Amino acid sequence: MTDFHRYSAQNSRKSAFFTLASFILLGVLISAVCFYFFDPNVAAISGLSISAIIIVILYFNASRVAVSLSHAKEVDASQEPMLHNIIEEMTIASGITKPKVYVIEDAALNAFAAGDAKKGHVVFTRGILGALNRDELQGVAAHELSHLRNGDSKLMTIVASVGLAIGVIADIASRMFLFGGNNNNNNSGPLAIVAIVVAIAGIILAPLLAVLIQSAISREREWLADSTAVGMTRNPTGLRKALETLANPDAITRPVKAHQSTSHLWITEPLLGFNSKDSKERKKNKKDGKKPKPSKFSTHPPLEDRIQRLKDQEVIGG
Amino acid sequence: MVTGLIILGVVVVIGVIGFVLYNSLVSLRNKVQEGWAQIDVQLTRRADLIPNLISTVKGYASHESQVLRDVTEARSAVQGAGTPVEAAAANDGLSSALGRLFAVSEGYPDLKASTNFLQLQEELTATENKVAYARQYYNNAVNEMNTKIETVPTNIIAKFGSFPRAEYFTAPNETVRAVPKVEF
Repeated sequence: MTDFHRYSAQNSRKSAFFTLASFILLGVLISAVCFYFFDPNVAAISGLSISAIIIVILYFNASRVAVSLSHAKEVDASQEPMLHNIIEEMTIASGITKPKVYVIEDAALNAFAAGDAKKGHVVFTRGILGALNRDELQGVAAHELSHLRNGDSKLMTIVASVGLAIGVIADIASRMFLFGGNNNNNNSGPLAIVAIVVAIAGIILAPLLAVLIQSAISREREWLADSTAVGMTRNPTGLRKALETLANPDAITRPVKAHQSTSHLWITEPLLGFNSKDSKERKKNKKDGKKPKPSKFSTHPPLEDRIQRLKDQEVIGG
Repeated sequence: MVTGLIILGVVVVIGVIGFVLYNSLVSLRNKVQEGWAQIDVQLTRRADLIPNLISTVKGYASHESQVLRDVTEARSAVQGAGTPVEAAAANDGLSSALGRLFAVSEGYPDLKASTNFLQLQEELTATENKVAYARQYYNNAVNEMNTKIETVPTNIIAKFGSFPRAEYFTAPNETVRAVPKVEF
């Protein structure tokens, strides 16, 4: 239990830092664009306020699209009694409102959650329902409901959208600086020079940093969801065995209709699946007994590391 | 004049602190009651499933009367329990009686294949798990409230506002850290 609390606190701090970083990045970028029209002070203020407005708007409109993108169908308790029971158990353990339950008719092994603690959606593929036993499914359900309880799905949707916004604005800004005509802003002092340097650096680095931040937050959130799930079920073994099934090199984790922008929502990275480089690497690693290399651009920590951390908790006694 | 204002200020501050502490105790008491209601719902649901289970099992394994009688008795104990401690003990009794019933049912392939039986088994597993999770929430709330009732300064408010200690949902002969898990 102490371990679970330590991880939670650690991850919350990191995520707060990353969210702030996203906000500042977006703010600096918009400021850079504004600097083209106004003097540095006005540009900085308007940049930060536009950034704040964008983040607030995204917060209230996020995650509705994710479920419809996956072509999931809602199921009631008479169609999937066990799945509904498991979700209800985890609802009691987590103290959130029972989310709506969906199934994707797809042989892939995966699941995801969207929404928040009050209005959540959890989606399972037909494949994962067939491949895992009750305890394992409970671990997966606990992981997904942890995302809802911790506000991850919402946060990640915002972060992804901010990333997109940063990309678009950086593009606009670079065109303006390269092909811009008359610059009305003639005040040339040390402040203006600093502002220009910051603006150019921002335009070049912002989109790259955005992707790195997005992936880093996502990985932190996955760790947090794994540890919260163990806190909820008091049973690290269920989730560990489920992840082992998913880590099997022959497991297909990529649903046919998974959309790239929802990658961070799934329990395992849906776009690295069967026949992909990831799967081949996993097979090779298994043969050589090597540990996989974590990528800075990956939205999930390596499954092998997640399994190892759950094993550690089993030894401690969860 | 100045002293009067200072005294008035001190009284107002103490009053506000008192209100805040009182309200925190009330919200904890509500949390405990909410937690108990959740356990109660599941215990009732579990007891309601038993008659159906008994009649299903009787259809396939009528001569296992001892096990069936144990389950029926354990069920009435759950329904008759008054305090959380009694309810916890009765619930544990029901769990072990059901465990024996499901162990016996292994010897009847027809029973094990019956859809009705499988559904009941799933429902009973689910309610047992729900009781276990609701119990975590309830016992945490009780712990939080009892600590506040016993520690300074809330203990003063608790004394005057009649906030009694709440009882844990724990049977006398088990530990709070028992792992809530069922495997059939």
